[in-house]
Amino acid sequence: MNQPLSVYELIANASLLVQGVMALLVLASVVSWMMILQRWSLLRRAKQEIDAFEDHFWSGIDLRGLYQDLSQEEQLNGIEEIFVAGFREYTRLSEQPGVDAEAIMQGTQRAMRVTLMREEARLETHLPFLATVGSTSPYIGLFGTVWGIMNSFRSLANMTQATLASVAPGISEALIATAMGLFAAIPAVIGYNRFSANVDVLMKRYEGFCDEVTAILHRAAHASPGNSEGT
Amino acid sequence: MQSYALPLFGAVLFHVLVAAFVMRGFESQDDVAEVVTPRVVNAKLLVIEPLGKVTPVPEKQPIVRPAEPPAPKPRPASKEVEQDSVNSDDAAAKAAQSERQRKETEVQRRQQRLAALGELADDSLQRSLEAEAQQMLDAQNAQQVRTYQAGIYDLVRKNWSRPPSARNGMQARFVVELIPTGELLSVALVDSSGNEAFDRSAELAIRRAKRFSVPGDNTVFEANFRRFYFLFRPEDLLR
Repeated sequence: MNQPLSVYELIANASLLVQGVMALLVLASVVSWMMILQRWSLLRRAKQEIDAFEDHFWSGIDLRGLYQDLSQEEQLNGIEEIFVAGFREYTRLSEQPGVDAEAIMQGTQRAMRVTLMREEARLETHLPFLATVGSTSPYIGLFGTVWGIMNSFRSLANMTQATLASVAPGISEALIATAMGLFAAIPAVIGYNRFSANVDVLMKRYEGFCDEVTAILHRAAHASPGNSEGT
Repeated sequence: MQSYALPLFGAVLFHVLVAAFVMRGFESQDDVAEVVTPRVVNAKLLVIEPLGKVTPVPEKQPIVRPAEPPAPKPRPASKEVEQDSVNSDDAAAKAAQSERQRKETEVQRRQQRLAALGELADDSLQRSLEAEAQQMLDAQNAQQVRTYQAGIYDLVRKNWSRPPSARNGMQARFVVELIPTGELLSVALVDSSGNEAFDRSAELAIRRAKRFSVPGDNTVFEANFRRFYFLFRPEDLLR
């Protein structure tokens, strides 16, 4: 044991099961980092889109004109899709004769809620994976460590003279599994918490936007039949 | 799926970097760990001229002094006799005889001297052989003595808790007496350090040890461990 132990040697000398655990953890870590990066860019983009769209929406633009502009585009982002779905339903229902204002508003709200749900699902994809990695990978690593320490103590039982040097490498290599588990778990947990909070904030804004659109359309729906009856 | 390509690349890159960092960091840490060898010398045991030592004095080179020519005593007398005597023949005969005698004695003396020289040479050879054997024995004993000294030194050092007033360069010397089983007979302060607490702590360190391991060989014990000096001199303190 004169030469210094390198991490590579420790991993290469570990037992097959511990190596499997390590490989699993490395894979989990890589995938969870991939998810983290992908979620991060997606949520940031969603936030930018919602900011931009709200600015545009409240700039006093004509809603019908906005709807026509948007329905020309082939690629719609989340908040635009919610608006387009609601407005399309509203126009379709209000063009039909014999549909009263409440029915129009119910249909519009339903259409917007469906799109909102789909959008929420889109934002939350992979977050359960991060949660799973964050909560289980310490246990997986611990399992590898316990297994490795078990083996190194079992080999110690066969020796006549027990020295620290005879168990230390085994324990050291076993502990690498725990280190890997923590390495995978910590960013996953942080990512999960941060992104689920971000998704919550975004959903609140979407819902607020939905309510505002509903209020505007509600005013219009109740105004137009009243006008027609009045005239 | 296209949107996952970049994150995947980023994740893999990140892991490769972390792996490289860990590998390198681990090895450099080991290098540092190898260099550090703490020095734990905090007292010196000097066994200076043990008192009851039967000194095998290093053999001096046997000096063979060139024997001085013996004073030619009888000669001037015979000369006078020769001059004064009327009977020259008798005198001549006497002179010849004395001369012979003188020669004989001289030869004898020379032989004696030679014999003595030879003896001396023999003696010196034998003595040098003995000295060599003695030296080897001494070396062995010295080795043994050093081992036991180190043991005593360690034992006392372990028992020594230095007072806060101890400073580098203080020294206290004790004379320690043991009985052949290694048990402590007496401790006496010879040279004080001037600091009472320091002296007391040092004395206590020796007393706490109670029993030292000493060589079973009685002559070695008598020579080195019956009475010896113990010098306490801290050198590793910060102040």
